[in-house]
Amino acid sequence: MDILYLLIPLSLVLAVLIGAAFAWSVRNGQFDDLEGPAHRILADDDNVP
Amino acid sequence: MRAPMPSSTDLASPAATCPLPAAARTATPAVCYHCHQPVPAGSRWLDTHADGDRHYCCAGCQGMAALVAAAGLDAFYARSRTGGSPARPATDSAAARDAEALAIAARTAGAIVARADGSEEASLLIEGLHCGACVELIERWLARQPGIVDARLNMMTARMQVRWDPATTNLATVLQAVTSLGFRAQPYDRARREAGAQRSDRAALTRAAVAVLAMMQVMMFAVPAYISHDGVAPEYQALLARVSLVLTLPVVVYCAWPLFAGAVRDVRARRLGMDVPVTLGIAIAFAASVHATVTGRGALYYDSVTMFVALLLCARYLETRARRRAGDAIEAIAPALPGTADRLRADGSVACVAASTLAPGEHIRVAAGATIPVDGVVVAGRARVSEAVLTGESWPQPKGPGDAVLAGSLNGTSPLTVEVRRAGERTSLSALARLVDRAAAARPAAAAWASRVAAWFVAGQLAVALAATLWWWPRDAALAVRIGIAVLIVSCPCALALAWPAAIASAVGGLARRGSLVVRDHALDTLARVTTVAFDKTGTLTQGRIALRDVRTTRADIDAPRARAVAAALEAGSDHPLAAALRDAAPDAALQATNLAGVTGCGVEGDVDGRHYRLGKPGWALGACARPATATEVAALADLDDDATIVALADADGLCAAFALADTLRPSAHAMVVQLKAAGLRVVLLSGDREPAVAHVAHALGIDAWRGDCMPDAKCDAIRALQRGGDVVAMVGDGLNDGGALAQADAGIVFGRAAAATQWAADVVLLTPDPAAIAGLLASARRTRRVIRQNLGWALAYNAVAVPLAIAGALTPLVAAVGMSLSSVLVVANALRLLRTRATPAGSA
Repeated sequence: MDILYLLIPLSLVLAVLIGAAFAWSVRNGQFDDLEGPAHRILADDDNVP
Repeated sequence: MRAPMPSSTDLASPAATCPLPAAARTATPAVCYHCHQPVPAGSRWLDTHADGDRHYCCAGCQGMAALVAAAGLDAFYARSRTGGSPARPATDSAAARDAEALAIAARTAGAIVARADGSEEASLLIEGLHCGACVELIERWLARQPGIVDARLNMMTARMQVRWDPATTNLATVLQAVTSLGFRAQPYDRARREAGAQRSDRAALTRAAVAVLAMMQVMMFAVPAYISHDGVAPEYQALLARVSLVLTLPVVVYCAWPLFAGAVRDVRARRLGMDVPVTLGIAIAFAASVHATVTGRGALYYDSVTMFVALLLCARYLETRARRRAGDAIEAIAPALPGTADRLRADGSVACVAASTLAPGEHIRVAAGATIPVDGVVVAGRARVSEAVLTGESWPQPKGPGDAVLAGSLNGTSPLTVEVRRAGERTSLSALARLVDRAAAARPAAAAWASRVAAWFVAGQLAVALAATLWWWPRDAALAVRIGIAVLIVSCPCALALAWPAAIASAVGGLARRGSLVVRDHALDTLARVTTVAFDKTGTLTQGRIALRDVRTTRADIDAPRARAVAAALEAGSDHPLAAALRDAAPDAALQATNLAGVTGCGVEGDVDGRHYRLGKPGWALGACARPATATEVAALADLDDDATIVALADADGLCAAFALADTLRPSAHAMVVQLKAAGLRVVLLSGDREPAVAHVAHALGIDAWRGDCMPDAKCDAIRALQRGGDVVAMVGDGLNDGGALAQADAGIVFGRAAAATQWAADVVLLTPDPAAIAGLLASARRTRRVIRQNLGWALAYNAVAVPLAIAGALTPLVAAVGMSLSSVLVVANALRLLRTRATPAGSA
């Protein structure tokens, strides 16, 4: 069970990494508009014939 | 309990500060007096003052400096240069300087409005609001400050209208008073509001996400202790406890920060909000857990703390987003008027001036594609103008010299010269926006009641928690702490404090998106109780526009399409409403009329395809034929509806066709009446029109109760009679003469094109001309009431079960945290359903 001394701190590191990645994506505006992009994909691009 | 506030005098009097020595300024003309940027060599922007010359880098800075000086705030420069005046105490310098700089900026930007009674008013944006209680706190706090006449904060848009007496206080003091509570206040500016909203949205999302992440991890480490039979080995338990502490620390310090800040705010204002018990619960549970981790004895509550914070933050985040979306929907309807206008000088040159400073009678130029900044009259130019914002009529209307145009409408096609009638705060659009603001700022009485009850609820909860802990303490101190924590966090005032305002905000926002502005606070509540809907006929159920209803022909040589085409050709040049209706009836007719001549009061005559026709009043038109009218002709004319206007087309051989022209029904009116009836509502028609016309409309729509020839007084009486019979009446009206009836009715609904005076009597303004919105509105009001009742019922049942269990010691803090947070999420999510814009038949309510 000594492996816990490695695995549990490892899980902490992972949690910090995930938290940092999420904070980065929030700051980047990924979560600002959760509806617009879904509609934008349906809008036809007028430039394409 | 007043926070130390700087006295207003040391902010108000520029004379209190010492100006820089004149020599210091004149000796270094290298920087701009206003913006501190280097002045380019050979700059010609220069003011000569008693204390020396002032150099500027550009004309803009010179203009700003002149404005600041004109506002008597010259000392701003002395201060901003020395970094705080020596005359002021050091403690407040940074905050005070910020507040004062903002106040100066607001004054120079024209954001401070002087009112007729001598007071001044400004619109402020408040950042950091997170519940209805904050609104009450700020309003009460400001009401206690000297010199503040009135402060109303709109929770939905985070905007505060504050009015103060300039002799006693000033904007900088007001801003500081708000700042001292821990909120941020700035003069309102839409772009800044959006930036601020985005910042706090992102912070809230990150906080919730970090809490959820920590919750999942801590839960993993807590599970072994729950599932093992003989306990986790002490060395591993110590490891798990320490790692849980590391994970919980950011949750308490970072994620729960808004909760702590809210509790501190509440305590400082000597009131009880729901943040107080929540924070106490978190703090005690965390402290007990840390103690247990360090000493190795006692229970751990890390899992409870993280889960509680995570779910609570999720519920708050949802609530904030809902409010913001509701506020956005309202703002989208009343867009900002352009701040500037191009004023035409007498010599024909154009000057750009602030739109609010325009005086009636001045002329402005409105470019194609620009929004018209004032209410006025077109003097020169012709263009198509879209008034969609004000009337809901999206089709651009042609406007020429003499036509009235309204602020907020969009000039679509070509430049116009407009004579100003009303500018700034007096335009129709501003009046409508104020209506909406008034409603939003006057928080629904029910919600105010809810927050008061929530405060008592919290007080009771704290007392019960304390009593339970004291009661258990002599028996088992550890159990007593556990029970105290459980009671603190299990009971849930969310249905009152969070979900009620969220429900109303969501409903109002959802309606606004569909073009129904709720402009009085109690309107939703009243509309939910309505049993009878009274309609005014003209313009509500009908188009309010004459259209061709029927054509009768009497001769074989001319059929109905031909008759319509001839009539359209004859009316081609006329602008009479009847003529327009006849033209619209034959849109693709290609006939040309010649020798057209109008006869005032009778009609028009002219030649089409070589035949001479008369079109107009039957008596006059039949004069085209030498012989007297035949029986068939008289019958054809008499056969038409007696509520319509009859127009005859005749030539030398007698009557060709008879046209019946009348106001037509709106396409969705019938479906709307059916929906209302299906929802169990009585529908009544009260109209000032002639009895036969009213009867015709009532029959067409399936309305059984109608009254024609109603004078405004008679409408009021009819509504009063219905109310005496126990009915709750909603009046749907349009014209000015409905004002009395709208006020007499329990709820008044008007259309957006109604006169401003009528709108003031209304509870709801519909921006769409579609009567179907009325059914949607009533359904939405009923849904709101149902959701609020569901939430209250849930809260009552939940608390009645959970609190006794917690007191008895049957709930661990973990179970309590799960219960309370899920309850919050449940009631808020239930309230958010109202924001969804979906077409629901009225019958569903």
